[in-house]
Amino acid sequence: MLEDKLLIWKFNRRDPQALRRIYEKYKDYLVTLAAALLSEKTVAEDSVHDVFVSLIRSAGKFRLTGSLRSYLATCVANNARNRNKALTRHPGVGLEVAEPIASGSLSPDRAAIFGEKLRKVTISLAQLPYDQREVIILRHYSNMKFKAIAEMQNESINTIQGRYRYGLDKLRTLLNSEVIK
Amino acid sequence: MRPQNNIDKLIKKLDLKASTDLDKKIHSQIDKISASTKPNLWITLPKSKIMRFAAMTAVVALAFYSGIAYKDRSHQKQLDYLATELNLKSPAELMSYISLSRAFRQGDDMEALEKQLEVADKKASSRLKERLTIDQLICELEECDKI
Repeated sequence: MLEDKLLIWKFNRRDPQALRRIYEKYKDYLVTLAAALLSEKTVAEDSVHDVFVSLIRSAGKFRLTGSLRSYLATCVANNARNRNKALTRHPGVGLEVAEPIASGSLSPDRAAIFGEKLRKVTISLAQLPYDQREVIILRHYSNMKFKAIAEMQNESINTIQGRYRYGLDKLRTLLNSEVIK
Repeated sequence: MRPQNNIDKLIKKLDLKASTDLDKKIHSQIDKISASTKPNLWITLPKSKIMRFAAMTAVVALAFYSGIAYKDRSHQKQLDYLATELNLKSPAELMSYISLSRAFRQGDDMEALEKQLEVADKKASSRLKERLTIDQLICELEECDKI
């Protein structure tokens, strides 16, 4: 936390080393988050790239109120959601990223982005509606509270909790299902 | 184990490494920005006028206080002497004797010194053991100047 505050202080004074350090510290975490949301690594890296380019451009006027980790996770989640919305508006272009994947239809490459051991989890997450997937990933991977997720998605806490419950039930069913190979 | 804990553990196991392509893109962006601007670690100028005014006021106040503190330090020995030898502990008493000391050094006439002494006496009348005459005071001040 203290290191992050110091890095932000240096970053606002346009110290490039501070920015490099922020990137190196959080790049893997953010790429994993984006890939879990979008079920594809290339698009996930594009999302992280956009977030860091925006961050670089805000040097000198960046104000951080909470933790840097949460802030970056929120930025990546927002960017991923926007990409997902853009894809649903233009069906046929990378549709599989936007819509829940039917059982067994995820390509082998994408099913194994987190490794063979987590293949089942990857496929199950990809089969959830995006909103439910996002709540579950942000809750369990980023340890975000429901209130923060609600603010980010611009929904009520009850709606977020409902998405979480339904998503979790479906995920549990999918993970216990013998259909997924 | 609760199924939710299982899912939590599974999701926390998710781990990807950023590719070297992404690293190159980000680092090249950082290089572009750093080439166009210079780091400014030491100077922070507040943006709002109120903050600038407050910062200036603070600097001026600090400089003023530092000046007084330095000046006062050089008189500290004299003050200590006056406080110990004349048993003066009140700031008013000390200040009165300091003003008398200055008047003495500036070579003011006896009338001016008498007036200063009356003022000092009024302020410290309840504290002084005895009222010092001009001669006694001059002797005390001469002792003080030798320090």
